Amino acid sequence: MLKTRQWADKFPLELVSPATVKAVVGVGVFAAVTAVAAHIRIPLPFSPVPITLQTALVMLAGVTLGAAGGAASQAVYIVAGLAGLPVFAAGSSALLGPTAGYIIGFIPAAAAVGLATRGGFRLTTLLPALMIATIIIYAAGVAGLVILTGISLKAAVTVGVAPFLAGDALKMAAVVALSRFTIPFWRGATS
Amino acid sequence: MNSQFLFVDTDSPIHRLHPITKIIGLIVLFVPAMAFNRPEAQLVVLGLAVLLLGIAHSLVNLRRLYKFLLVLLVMSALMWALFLRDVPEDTQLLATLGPLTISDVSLRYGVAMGLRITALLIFGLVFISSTKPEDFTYGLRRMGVPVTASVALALAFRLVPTFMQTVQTVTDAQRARGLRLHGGSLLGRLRRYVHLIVPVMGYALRRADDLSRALEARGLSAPGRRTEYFRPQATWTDATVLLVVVALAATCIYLRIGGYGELLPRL
Repeated sequence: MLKTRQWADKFPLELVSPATVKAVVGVGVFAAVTAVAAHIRIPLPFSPVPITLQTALVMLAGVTLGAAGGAASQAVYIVAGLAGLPVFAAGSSALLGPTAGYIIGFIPAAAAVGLATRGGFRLTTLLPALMIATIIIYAAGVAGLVILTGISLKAAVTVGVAPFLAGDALKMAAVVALSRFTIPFWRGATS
Repeated sequence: MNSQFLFVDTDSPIHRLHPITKIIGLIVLFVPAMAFNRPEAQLVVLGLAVLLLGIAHSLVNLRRLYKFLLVLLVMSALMWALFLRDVPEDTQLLATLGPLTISDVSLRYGVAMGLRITALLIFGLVFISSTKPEDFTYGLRRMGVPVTASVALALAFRLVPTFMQTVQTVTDAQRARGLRLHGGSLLGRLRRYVHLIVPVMGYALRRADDLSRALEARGLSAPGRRTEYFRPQATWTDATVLLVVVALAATCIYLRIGGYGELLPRL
């Protein structure tokens, strides 16, 4: 590490610090995991629409990588989808369908969770952060529905928010459980 | 899914293009798909996308993904047909579903949007089928994208198939141990999915740790000017292809301004 710094001082050209390497890899890995999570579907007994773990991974990216890393991972995820990688859940109609707002909302949602959990794993900050992230995703999604389709706000909330709230509560519980080991693993290894 | 995922290792005219030509070409080809919202016009764009995939000798990927594309097409068409409200007042109402309705215009628009998304994905498929992740990274860097961003994107491209394979492997392993993922109460189902998610996340994080060490060991964090073994040269073919693609996009915009391929006055 010290040697690298000495070399950097001597040749101040293009330098990517080891911490940045770790962050870059984290961004790529979480973009890929979010893509894969979109394809893990949990069928529900009471609804024809299954739960996907996509939004849980959005939040986990923020919790694990921090605000900048989490947001960057979601931006990379979206760019990968635009470049043709089949990364979006089949039902989400990608970035050009009526649900585009939800996907755009992933970036600020991951950043918000990352900002709120800078201090590490604390349930008192994590839970409100996850709720705020969920609200951000829904706000962006409903705005997208209203703007793109001309549907009324009430109808957008009825079809675009209400049916998924129970699933979101369970996803938050999953994120809390998973972040207990992702935060120490990733942040411990980074510092 | 193999480790190379959707890249088709063959020698086609599209494979031989410079990475920057392919990146710009992909972006510009979004224009014809976005220009029209009549189903007939979108069908022509979809035909163009499939033709390009054929030129790239990559129709195998269409066979591999046709179910996914079909679901996407139908779901997208349905969603737009159900949600679209900006339709003329004299349209014929076909069905009502709670607060949502389907009219003849919203249905046609929905079909056009389904075809559009499918065409866009196939344009993307042409790119992915003919471009290795390292070529993509090289192209991005030559276009001025920071090395950190291009490496992260290349990693995402490489890791999606690996992680999908891991999900399949873990699912098979847990099923072999008697885990039943479907059936039972909601809480029971979710609890069983923990046996799938935790090993996959554990694998992903371990893999990330290994990767960052490997990238450091290979000098990503080293100071100094970067050099490349791989330096493709742009040829006149690249210039011609770019010219044709830009002319095509300009023609589509011109046609749309003239009212061709327009079902509704919106994108």
